[in-house]
Amino acid sequence: MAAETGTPTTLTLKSNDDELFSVAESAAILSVTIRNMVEDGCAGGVIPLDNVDGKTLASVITYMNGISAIPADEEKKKSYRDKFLSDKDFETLADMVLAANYLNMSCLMDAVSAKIAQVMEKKSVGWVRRKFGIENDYTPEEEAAVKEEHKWTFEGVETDDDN
Amino acid sequence: AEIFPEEIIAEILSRLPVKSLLKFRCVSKSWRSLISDKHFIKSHLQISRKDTNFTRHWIIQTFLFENPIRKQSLKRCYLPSLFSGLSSDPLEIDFPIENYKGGVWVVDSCNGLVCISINEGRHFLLWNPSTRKYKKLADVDDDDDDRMKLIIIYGFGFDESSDDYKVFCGFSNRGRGGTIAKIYSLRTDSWKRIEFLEEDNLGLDATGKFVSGKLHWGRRNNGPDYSNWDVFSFDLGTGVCGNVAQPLSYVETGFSPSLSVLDGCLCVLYNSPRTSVDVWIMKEYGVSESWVRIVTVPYMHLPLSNPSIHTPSLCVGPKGEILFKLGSDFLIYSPNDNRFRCPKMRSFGAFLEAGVYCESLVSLV
Repeated sequence: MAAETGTPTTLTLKSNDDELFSVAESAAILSVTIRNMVEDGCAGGVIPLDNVDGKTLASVITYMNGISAIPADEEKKKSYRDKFLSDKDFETLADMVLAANYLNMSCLMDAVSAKIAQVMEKKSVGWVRRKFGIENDYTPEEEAAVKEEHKWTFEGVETDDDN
Repeated sequence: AEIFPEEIIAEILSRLPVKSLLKFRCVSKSWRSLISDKHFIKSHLQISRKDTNFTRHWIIQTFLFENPIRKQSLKRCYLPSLFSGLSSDPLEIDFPIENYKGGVWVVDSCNGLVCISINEGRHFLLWNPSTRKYKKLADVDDDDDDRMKLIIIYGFGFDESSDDYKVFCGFSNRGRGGTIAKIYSLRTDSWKRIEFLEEDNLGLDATGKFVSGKLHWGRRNNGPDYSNWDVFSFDLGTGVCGNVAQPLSYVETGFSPSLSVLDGCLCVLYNSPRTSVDVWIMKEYGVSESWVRIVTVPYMHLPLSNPSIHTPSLCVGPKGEILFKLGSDFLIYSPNDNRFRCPKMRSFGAFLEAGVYCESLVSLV
């Protein structure tokens, strides 16, 4: 419809902590979840996004606007994504990957997953457990045995930086 | 509490290098079972393979050391370093077998597994350099009947139909004419003799090139020189032999051709001694109209050692650049500006041969 009238359609998105955001429909439909809602006729009112908080949604919208402003040039899109994620800490990246998954945005999902992988690559097992909220369900003997199977992979592990 | 659902964990972990994944088997029991899950291993490999910066790719090389004893050894070199020209010293690699007689030779790699021939094919080894696990195969000529036969062709690949890795070995059946062949299956861990009615003329390059489930060799026909030749294929799944049509314009010229694989596609390199090497790629397997010439390497860029005595091979790298192995030298071609450059490796000069593998968790059991 937007193309016919010449004025871009704007959508209003609502985060789970009741913040409202305006975003061009052309950028917002990078999210398959939002696109489906638009196609189902939700676009007239406010689109509620129950799994995303305001802080994360603001960041996702920055990304949507940034990436959709770049013409079809995969190199440039890739370098935009790299720059966009470069200064984000683990907690922010974790919120982003959950949001990207919920919003069904595969390009953001890929980029954030790769970034988290890059951050954790040289970290210790303990660091990963703390950051991912995972309980160690091995007995000390079991864990030692699993470690022994690939002992060389524990060379070059970084010292934990979070405590 | 756990902050990610399982599918997001899998998304993140499938982007880690193999070394980190083996370390993180210690995180929890569910992580350990995810990391050894077949589907996970497959999607991890697919993502590693598609990485446009080739950060999971390595070159494996055989070097010959004259001192202290004449012995071949293996080293590996990080593929992105070779392309970027930063630091590309070959690294020592923990080759699993210490005391072997004769030379080691890289047959081929497939899904992160490297097939090594020891002492001219008397022994074979399947090896995953990323997990450092290996398997020594049973000897191929274990029955008296096949003793003293010369291995003339071999190859390594993955048979999707039976989800199995296979090593192919063709012997010259001395005195009796014809060729006999055996196939090793990782699944059954044994060699099996197969019907294979090829004549002895598959000798252009011993190593079969694995593309699209089939091994390929250049085959000489009855002609005075290389002018009559074709591409012979052997299907690892069905055992069916066939032919692949080559670019028509080359059928009658006097080039000496060799086969290679680039980005999963079959290539033919037409080496015209002292002039150039033409590289053709079959974009769509089995479709003869899809042959495209991608580059001609003029002789001035070729290394001084006579390249015609070696089999050139190649692989694709970051930004669509192509790495050539010509004799004991590497050459990089950049299609964007149509230029060539020679990457340098310190510490070591000549290597005997080189292949490329992509990191994977693929297991040998």
